[in-house]
Amino acid sequence: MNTAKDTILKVDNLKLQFSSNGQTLNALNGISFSIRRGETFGFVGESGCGKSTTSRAILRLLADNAKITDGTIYYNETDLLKLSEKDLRKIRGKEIGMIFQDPMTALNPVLTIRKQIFEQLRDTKLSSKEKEIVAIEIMNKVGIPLPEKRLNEYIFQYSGGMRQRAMIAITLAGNPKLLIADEPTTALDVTIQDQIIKLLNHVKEDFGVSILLITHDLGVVGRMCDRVAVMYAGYIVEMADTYTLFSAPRHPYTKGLMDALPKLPQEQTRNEEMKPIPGALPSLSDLPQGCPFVSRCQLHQTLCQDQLPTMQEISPGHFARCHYFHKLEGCTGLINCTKG
Amino acid sequence: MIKLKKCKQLNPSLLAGLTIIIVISVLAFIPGAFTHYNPTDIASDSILKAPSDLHLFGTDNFGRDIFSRVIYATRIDVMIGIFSVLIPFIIGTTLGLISGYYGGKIDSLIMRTVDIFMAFPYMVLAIAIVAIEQAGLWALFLSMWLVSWKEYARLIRSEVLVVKNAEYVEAAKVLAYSDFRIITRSILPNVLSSAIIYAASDVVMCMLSGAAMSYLGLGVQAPTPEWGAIISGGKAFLSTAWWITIFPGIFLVVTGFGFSLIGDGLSDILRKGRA
Amino acid sequence: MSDKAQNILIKIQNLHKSFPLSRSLTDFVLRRPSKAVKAVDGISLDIFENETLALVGESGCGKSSFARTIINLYKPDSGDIIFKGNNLASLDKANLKTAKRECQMIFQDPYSSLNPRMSIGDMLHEELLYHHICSKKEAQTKINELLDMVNLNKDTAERFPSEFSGGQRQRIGIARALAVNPKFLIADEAVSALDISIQAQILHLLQSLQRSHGLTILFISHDLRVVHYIADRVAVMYLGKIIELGTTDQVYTSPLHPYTKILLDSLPSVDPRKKSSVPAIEGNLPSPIDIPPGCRFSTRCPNAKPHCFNDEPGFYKVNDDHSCACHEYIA
Repeated sequence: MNTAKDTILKVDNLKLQFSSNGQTLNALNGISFSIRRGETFGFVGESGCGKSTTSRAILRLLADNAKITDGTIYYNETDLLKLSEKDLRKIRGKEIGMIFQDPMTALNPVLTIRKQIFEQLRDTKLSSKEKEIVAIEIMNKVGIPLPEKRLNEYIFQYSGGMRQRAMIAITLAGNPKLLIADEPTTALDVTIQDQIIKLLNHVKEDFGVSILLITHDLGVVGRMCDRVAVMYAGYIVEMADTYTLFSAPRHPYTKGLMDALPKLPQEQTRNEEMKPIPGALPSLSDLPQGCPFVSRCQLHQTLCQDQLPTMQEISPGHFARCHYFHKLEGCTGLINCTKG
Repeated sequence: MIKLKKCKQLNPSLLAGLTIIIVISVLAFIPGAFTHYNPTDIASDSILKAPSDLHLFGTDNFGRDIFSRVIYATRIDVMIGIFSVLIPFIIGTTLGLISGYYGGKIDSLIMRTVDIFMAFPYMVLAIAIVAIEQAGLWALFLSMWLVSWKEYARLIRSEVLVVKNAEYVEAAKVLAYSDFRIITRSILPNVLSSAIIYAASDVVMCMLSGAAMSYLGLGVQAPTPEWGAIISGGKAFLSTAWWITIFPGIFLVVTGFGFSLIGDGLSDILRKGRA
Repeated sequence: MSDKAQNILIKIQNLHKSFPLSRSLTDFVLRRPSKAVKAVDGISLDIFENETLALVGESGCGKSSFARTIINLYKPDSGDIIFKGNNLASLDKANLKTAKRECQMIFQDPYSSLNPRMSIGDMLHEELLYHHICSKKEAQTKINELLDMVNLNKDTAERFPSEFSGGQRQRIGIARALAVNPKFLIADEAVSALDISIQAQILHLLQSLQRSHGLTILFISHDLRVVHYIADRVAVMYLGKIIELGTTDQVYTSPLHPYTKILLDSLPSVDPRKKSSVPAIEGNLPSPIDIPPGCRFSTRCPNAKPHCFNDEPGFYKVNDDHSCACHEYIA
């Protein structure tokens, strides 16, 4: 459907395990997805589903007890898993940049913002005057007022929203083609979150980057993503373009997440009460043999207990990992199907 | 406080430490079972004898059996180690809890007192006490107690400052619990671990300073057997009768090592238990 | 809401609470006045029996301090808190213990709200006996009842907090609060740290317990979705003051204060077709140390008029149950 040229990142059958206290946690169980140039791809799921682990596996920013047991991660034509640590360093920051939830821990507190931007520009052969110009331009683009003055400041001198902007500026200075944003707005208040979402959408156009967004918030997905993958217990359970997924979810977990989200008055498409998903996430050290969602699923039958469903293409570009996806028909999601 | 469940995970260092200390404690409790010599009996016919079947660790310049002296000294040395830590541990913990929990003027008062004691050199204090009292076990204990409570107070206070803002302490306040109950039930169990770990290493320090004091003649007095005192007595014969100093030295080191291992092992377990 | 008898459970009048900042040596030498964070800057509020009143606002607006002042964790600087006819701000010790028992709280962080060194059973046992809720003999039965009430197994009692997930801990927190038969419950961001599916479970639980126990809930949250779901009335807080108060329907469908409108507009819509590109509001919350003169929202308000920067608006009643602190609604 899309040629290799359109694809910036292609992850295939990625498996990853953590070992802790003699237990093996199956954190990722065969993750496959690809990100196209210029799109925002979202990973949504609850804590422990593996969405952050996936993003860290791409740059191999993993804890010592993590082990990638299978799979490939192609960035353009290079398999990142085969790169040496030295070659990987040429990718980190320069080809793939990362922004985190908390700038206060992600940025160096004893370096000025200028030093940290210059650090990103160290391989560019620019004179320091030119670097200054680039830095000011970036600061302007991310909406930090008085950049000449604020470049000299440290991260703690910035306020909440500005910290996030500074981190985005520093990451963008490395001129990455792919931006991994791990819960970039989670710690922020709604008004600030709104600003940062709009900034990221703007940055995507302005700098021509692709974004991999990790979030637990369906609202943020709706505002930012072109396509989205829903994760559960180390599996991608559903993947589609945002509109399709939000209007016609075909995996009971996706539907469950949407039903569990309290709606605002203007969003109530159908008169449906908020419904929790019963039970809790299965233990990653002891995943069921069949479908990982079986114990919480309304649709489950004996087949689900015995056999892990495969990813099936329901309609072009819409995949779901469920034996009984056809039981979820019509517009049962958050929004109406009629394209407006 | 350490639940039995956790003891399943007894780690190697704790196990080794406990083994050493249990063996040492057995020696301390029933020294008579291991030797038939009286540690203070002077025998003029066997002066400065090298280790042999008759005298396992040899004899000193009064013909006293070193093995039995070292064994009998175990009790007093372990006692010095434990009691010189226990009392300051209790005093320091109490003051640290009060200081950290209430803050304000009480906190300033206690912490300034700590500062004063910090600034006071330990040996000078010990000598002063010996001058007032007289050299002996009591003087030794008194000087140890006076100097080592402050570490516990500071340690506990700093932990309390963190824990007292935890939501479970707020929850206890919302339940209208008394301050005493909040301090003893909600705070104390959560701040004690680092003090316990410190205490295990402090026992070693106290035993060493106890030995040092006795070596200087300020602590336990002759002829009572004490490792430091035995070493001190043997120093004149170091080149001719090495056994007088070496064996009590080895016991001192091994016991210290045992307590250190316990401290190490405890810290692994107690730190893990923290949320 | 409408058919409920409007008995006032708690009447808060002109409550103030500030936290003094420590003065630096330069401030001291230059004789600058000592500064303070004005966390609660004059709040009057009636909380009705059996209602769920939500308190919303951005972080740093003082909503948690307000809750903690009501429940006596902080001593108020001035103002009255009348709970069932008694002023909590000036109650003697014996009566305060009873009053405190009747006001309980559920905390935000499921990981720090339970004492890691106490088993769940010990924790419940202690409070049941401390407040003479039941005898020693009945305690075990009562504990089982409580755990059953929040849908936890009986074996929970022997276990320690570290053995539970976030959602389970929050259930335990609710059991702890309800063990002493409170009338009034403060839920301080009680579901914010939870995943969506678990959050919905806890919201359901709170709702059913409110009905069965006749609870009055002050629900503090920054999450406007959750608030819309659970609240009967909503109070919007900005820099230590309530700037809008109304029924949930009124506030969400016809918000009055420009700040409330902006808050609702900022909320990410789940509809991917609505990608607006202009942020609803620029800038950050001003510091609660230097609250702007006049209307406290004037520095960020899109329709601020000159007099907004000088005169502080009163709290105007716009229609039944719906009030707002904005000059535009002056009667």
